Amino acid sequence: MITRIEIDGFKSFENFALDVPPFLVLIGTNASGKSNLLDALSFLSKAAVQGLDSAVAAVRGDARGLFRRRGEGTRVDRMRFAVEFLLESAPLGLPTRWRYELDLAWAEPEDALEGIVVEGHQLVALSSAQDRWPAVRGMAPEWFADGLVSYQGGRVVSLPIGPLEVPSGGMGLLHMARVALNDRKYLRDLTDDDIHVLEDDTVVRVAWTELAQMRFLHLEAGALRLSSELGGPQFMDTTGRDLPNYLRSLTKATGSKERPLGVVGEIKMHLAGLAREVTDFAIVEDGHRRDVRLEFSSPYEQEIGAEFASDGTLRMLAILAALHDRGCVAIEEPENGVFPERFRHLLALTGGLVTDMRQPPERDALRVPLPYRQAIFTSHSPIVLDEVPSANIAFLDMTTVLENGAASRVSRVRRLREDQGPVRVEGERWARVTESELSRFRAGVEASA
Amino acid sequence: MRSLSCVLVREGPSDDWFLPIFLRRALEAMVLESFPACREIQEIRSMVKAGNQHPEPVLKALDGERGAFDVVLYHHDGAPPTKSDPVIARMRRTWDNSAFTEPLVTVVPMRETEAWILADHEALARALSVRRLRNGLVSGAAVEGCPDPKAVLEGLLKGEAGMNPAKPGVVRDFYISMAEFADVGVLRKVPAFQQWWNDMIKALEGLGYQHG
Repeated sequence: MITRIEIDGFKSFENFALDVPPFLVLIGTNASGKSNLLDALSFLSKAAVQGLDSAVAAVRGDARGLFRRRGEGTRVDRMRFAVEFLLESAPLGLPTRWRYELDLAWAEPEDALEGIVVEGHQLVALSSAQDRWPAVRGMAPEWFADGLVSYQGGRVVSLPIGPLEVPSGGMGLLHMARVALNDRKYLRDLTDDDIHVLEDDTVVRVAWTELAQMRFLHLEAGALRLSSELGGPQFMDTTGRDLPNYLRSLTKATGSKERPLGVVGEIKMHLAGLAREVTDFAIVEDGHRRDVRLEFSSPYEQEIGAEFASDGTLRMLAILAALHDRGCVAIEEPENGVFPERFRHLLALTGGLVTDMRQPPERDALRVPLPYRQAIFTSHSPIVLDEVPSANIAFLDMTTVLENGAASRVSRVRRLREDQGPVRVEGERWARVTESELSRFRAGVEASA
Repeated sequence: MRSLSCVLVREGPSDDWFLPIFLRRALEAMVLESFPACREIQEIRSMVKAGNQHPEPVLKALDGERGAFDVVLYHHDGAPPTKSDPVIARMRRTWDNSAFTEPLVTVVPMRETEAWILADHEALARALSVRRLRNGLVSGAAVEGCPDPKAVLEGLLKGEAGMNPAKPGVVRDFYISMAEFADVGVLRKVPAFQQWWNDMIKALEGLGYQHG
C-alpha cells in the first residue's frame, strides 16, 4: 500500500509531494501532470524491480527527456523519488511502515555511455512521529493493535548500488541491492550484526514485492481482444493484453473447492451489473490451438468472442480484474468508452474494493488479513466529484516557479476543500481547491478560459 | 407487427436491480407461450420519480409518458397485508377512475421482491459462482414463507461466496445477475408470481394481443 509519493526533477515535478489514500482519483485538465504522476510511479517501480532501462522504456519519453526542463531551456541533472508504504507481508517483528528513497542523476561516466545513474537509494523505517498518514487519512486502532502497522524510527537500510558488472537493464535496483547484501565477501566481514543483515535482506525483499505488485493500465481495445497463449504471460500488460491468462491466474490464485473461480466469480457478478449486454463469460482453454480466449454470453446469445464484445465491456472486465487483484493498480482514464452511469457505478465499486484503513482490518475465515488493495485513477469526468469523497480526490494543475531568472511551469497538486473546512491546511504547500474551481471543472471550463 | 411496452412503478431503488430485467424476461417467455402474434418486447422502463405510496405522483409521472406504454406494472411488497392491501386498492381505484385506458397490473410479492430472488437455487449457485448451496435453504414456492429473505440473501453472499454485502455494489450486482439467471419456470411455482403471470395474461388479452 503506497501512502505517499515525493518527486523532484522528473518531468513536470518540482518538490512535489502527495499523501495517497487507498483509493485516489487524480483530476485536472489535459497536461496538468496526472499522467506524469503515474509515469513517475511506474518509473520508480520498474527501476526498483526490473532496472533503469526497463523503467525508461515503460514511460513516455527518452532517458534525458525525463529530467525536468527549466523555463530557460536547460534540464535539471538530478531526479529524486521517495515512496512511503505500508508493507503487507513483513514478517512478525519487523516494522511495516517504510520509505524508499531513490536519487538518480544524468551522468557521462568515463567507462560507460551517458545515461541515468543511481546516486544512492535506501529504505528508511518511519517513526510514529514521522508518519502523517493516520492523522491525514484516519486509521482504525485495530491496525496498530494487531501489529499490521508498526514503526522503528531511526532504522535505515543503506542499499548498495549493486555489482557493477551487472548491466543496468538486467536487474532491478532492489534486486541488485540484495545481490550485493548477500555477497559472500560482504557477509564474511560481518560479526554481531549478522541478524540485521538478514533482516535487512527481508525488508528489501518485501519492499521489492510491494513495488512489483504495482500495475499500470492504459487500456487499448485492440489488445483487450487478443487471446493469450497457453504458457504465455500470466499478468495483463499495460494495454490489457493477456487478459485471458490474467483471469486464469486470478482463478488459480484464489479458487477453492467450493468456490472454484475464486475472485473471478465476483468479477463475473460485477461485470453483469456494469455491462448489461453480457451476463457471463467463460475462459476457454484450447489445447488444439494452444491459446486461451474469452467467450461472453447473454440470455440471447452464446459464445460471443472477445472480437465481437463491446470496447466498454472489455475495459470494464480488465478494470474489474485488476481491482480484484492484490496490490496497487493505477488506471488512466477508466471512463473512456464507458456510459456515465456505469462509470458512476465503477467508482462506487472501487471505493468498496480497496482496503479501508479507517475500518478494522478485514480477515478471511482463517483470520488472515485480506490482501491489501489500492487504486489510483486519472480522470476528466465531473462524475468523480459526485461519486468520490473529496478526501479521495487530488486536483492537478500547473503553476509557475521562477528559477535562474526564467519562468518554469511545474505540476502542483491540491486537495479539495471539505464542506466548510479550512482552505489552508498545515503541511500542504498550496491552498485547497475551492468550490468556484470545482464548478469550472464540472462545467468543463479551463481555469484560464 | 404488435409490440409490447411496459412501464414499472416500483417501491424502492433496489427493486430496479431485479424487477425490470426479470419481468422483461418473463414477458418474453409469456409472449412466446401465449401471444405468438406479438413480435416485440421492449425494455421495461422504471418510473423512478413516480413514488408508489400515493396515486397522485404516479399519475403525474405516467401522464408524461402517455402514448409510450401499453401496460403499467405497479409493484408493491405484500407484507404486511394490513398495510399493503389498502395502498394497492387505493391505487387501483384511482387508476380505474382516471382518464388512462391502459391496464394496470399489480406486481405483489408476498413479502418482498427478495423472496423471488431466493426461489431458484441453480441460478443462485451460478450467480455466486459456488459449486453448490448449503442444505436446508428455502426454495421454490416455500420462499413466500421465508420471514426475512433479504437477510438470507445477504447471508448467502457472505457465507457462500465470501463477499461483503455491505460493500458498495455487491447486493446490486448480485440482484442484477439473479434477474438474468433466474428461471421463469421456477418462479412460476411461487404463487404470488403466478398471480402476476395470470393477471398479465388477462391484461394482454384485454388489449387483444392474442389477435396480433
